[in-house]
Amino acid sequence: MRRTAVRALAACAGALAAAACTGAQVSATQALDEPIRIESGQFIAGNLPGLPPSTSDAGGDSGAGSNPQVTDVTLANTAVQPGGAGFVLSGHTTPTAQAVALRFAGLGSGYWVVPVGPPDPSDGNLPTWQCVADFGRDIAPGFHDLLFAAVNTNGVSGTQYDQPLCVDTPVPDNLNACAPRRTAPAAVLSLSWDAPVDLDLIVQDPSGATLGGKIRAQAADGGVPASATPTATNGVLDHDSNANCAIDNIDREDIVWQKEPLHGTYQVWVDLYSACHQPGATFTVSLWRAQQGADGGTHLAEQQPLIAIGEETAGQATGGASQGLYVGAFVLR
Amino acid sequence: MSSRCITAAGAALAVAWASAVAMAGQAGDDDLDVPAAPRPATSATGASPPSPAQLPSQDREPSTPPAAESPSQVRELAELRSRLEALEKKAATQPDRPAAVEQPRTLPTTSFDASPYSRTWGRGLLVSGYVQGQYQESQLSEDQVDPTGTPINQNRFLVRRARVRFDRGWDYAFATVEIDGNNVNGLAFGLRRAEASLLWRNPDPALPPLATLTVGLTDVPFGYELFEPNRTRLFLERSTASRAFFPGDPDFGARVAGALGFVRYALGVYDGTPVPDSDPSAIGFDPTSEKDVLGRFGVETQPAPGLGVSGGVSFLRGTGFHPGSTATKNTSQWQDINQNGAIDPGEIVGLPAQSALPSKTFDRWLLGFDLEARFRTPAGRAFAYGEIYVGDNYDRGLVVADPTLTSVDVREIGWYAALVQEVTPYGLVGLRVGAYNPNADATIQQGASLVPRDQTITTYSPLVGLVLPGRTRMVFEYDHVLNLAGLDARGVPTALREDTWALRLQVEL
Repeated sequence: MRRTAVRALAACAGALAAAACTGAQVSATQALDEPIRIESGQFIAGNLPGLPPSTSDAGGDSGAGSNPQVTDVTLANTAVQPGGAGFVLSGHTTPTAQAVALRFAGLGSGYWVVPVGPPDPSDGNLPTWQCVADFGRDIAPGFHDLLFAAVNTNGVSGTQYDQPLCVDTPVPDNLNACAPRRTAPAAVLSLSWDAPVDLDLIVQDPSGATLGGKIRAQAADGGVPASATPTATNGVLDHDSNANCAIDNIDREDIVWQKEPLHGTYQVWVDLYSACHQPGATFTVSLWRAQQGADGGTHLAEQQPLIAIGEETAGQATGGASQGLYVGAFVLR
Repeated sequence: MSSRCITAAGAALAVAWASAVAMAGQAGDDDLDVPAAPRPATSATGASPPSPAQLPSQDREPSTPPAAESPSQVRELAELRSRLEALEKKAATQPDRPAAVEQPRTLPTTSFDASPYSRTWGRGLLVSGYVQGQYQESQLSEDQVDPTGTPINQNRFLVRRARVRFDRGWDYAFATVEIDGNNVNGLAFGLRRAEASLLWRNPDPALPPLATLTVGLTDVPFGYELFEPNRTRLFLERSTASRAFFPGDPDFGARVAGALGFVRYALGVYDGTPVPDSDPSAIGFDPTSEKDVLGRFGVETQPAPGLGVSGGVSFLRGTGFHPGSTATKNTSQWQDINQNGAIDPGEIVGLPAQSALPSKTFDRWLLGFDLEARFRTPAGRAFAYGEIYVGDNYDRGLVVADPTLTSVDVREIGWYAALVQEVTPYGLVGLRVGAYNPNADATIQQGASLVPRDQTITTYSPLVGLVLPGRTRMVFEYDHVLNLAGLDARGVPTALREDTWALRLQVEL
């Protein structure tokens, strides 16, 4: 009996071992931690296949190098916002390619694969490809190399294609990070948080004027409603994130001074207008100032230390009845 | 199914009902309580008390003195008296009413015990149940949420099933109610079985009824695996194909089933809305007036001592539903064409109002073949079984078939084969291999060509277990899943990492 039992267990273990030897498997992960995510693409951990691109190929038709390779990349804009979604990438490959792989050089832990599509009769019947990309929120501002590789049926890949892509700063900078000729704002006060709640940033400048808070609708005559908060002329709130719990996933609000703001002390409040059925949120208030960078240009840089790091719970929601939680002050000179 | 078919099915149910009622009438008040104390005799009218002439002779007043008794009469009288005393003593030990539980019993606890199509329906009240607690892990698990906000993590403890079941059997009637609690998708409680049945019992109580008519929320007699109770199945869940075709075990409907010798038959009419454990709120509404008609014809034989062979052919024909949509209003939409994050001219478009879209229905069918063998080996009892499915537009649980948009029918193919072996009465090993292709005609673009795509999901499920017979079993099952839904670096379909394992402890109530 014991021998039979051992045989049965051995047979079961053998069956399991045989089942385990059924070829390579790939992950079904959403890879939400990656700096770039391809909708309906397959994520594979590791380095991008193929040969590194030559510097002369960057951003243009390759025309040289070993095949298979991506011949061109089409995109509507070479600047993207951190956290942006729905960015369409398309292009062509050399005829023998079966798939296109892509990733940021030096960012993330793997690459994405999309199969090539039908040939393009208007471009020498070269195979086409297209994908839709989303971007992570934590990509460092500035230019990054987005690398593409074409792969044939044997898994062979040729020279990679380099498409520089600029990632903007998380706060409004007039696209200065990607186009240095554009002037960055003089200062930006930014509030960001980590949960889908309606949080508002409120600042009182040295003149006593209040900036930020809830953006209110216009009066019937198109004018400013009587209940509107008086604002200074220079600072502007860029948007009201998650206003009235219409969740936009931006979770950030900024007050932007395009010109040099008044010097003096600024008081800062964070108002949890509504918790939107969340238990609360952790927030950060930071000041960004235009200053000279390593390239000699003027860019926005986050000032240290941060003005405030805190937390508001659902019980602290005000519904606009007050200015909310006073979190600190900063001085501009 | 046409309305004539519905009418015919209704007539058949009416005839079955009338037959059962007639049988009950012929058999007297078998389902009525019979008081132990004799009822007072009544006349034909039941109104006037009996006259002395109608009473038995021993109850009349003696009109003449008794004659002298002979020795033989004395002996006979003594014998009668002793027999009467014995009867009275026996009657004194009987309960006031006939015992309700004529066949104290328990339900089968493993697949080795019995075929579900040879179930015997006992008399009396039986309360039973079981709890399945488990810990499971999956390669699909991530500490993230899906687009609907549902956590993706699957590495967790789980009350897979906690069931309480009440059975009450009479000579010609049977009722069952079963309640389930689980936390598959959050804590949920729901009805899993509510059956009202009429029976025509086999004279041999060890055999299944000759005929049963069951109405309510009841098991679906299609193939083997679906009809087998979750309590007895040794593998943790049904095979992938079975779960795709039947996302839940029971369904609302009526069935006629029974056993005629070695033949097992079942015919049913169902709503076609199986009740899933994980989503009890989604049950109970049949969107189509057409019903699913299904049946199984099989045999249960014992060709040699210690060997039982059974099998059957199942068929199902039903109607699928594609919901329409309500009318829409005028809206506007921003398309960030140049992807600069700002609204530029030409990027705001109007979406004009659209009229409502009507719902549509489509035909679907499923065919199944099952074969089972129970036998003994030196290690103990063994059970080998398998099924093959061929379907058309019938996937309702995995890759839900809906041909209304493409006007192309979706063909599904599935199968599994399993072997479970006792290792002494206290051990268990087994292996199940199954495959399911939700669309046998799927294609994929590869370069300039549209090539066939194999969407088969193959699962290898070895298991080992410890058993306390009739009470408890602990089973470890590893599911090695090959789902060709991924792409390798060449863009060629390859398997995703979807392996899962679970350790389950099941204890009878």
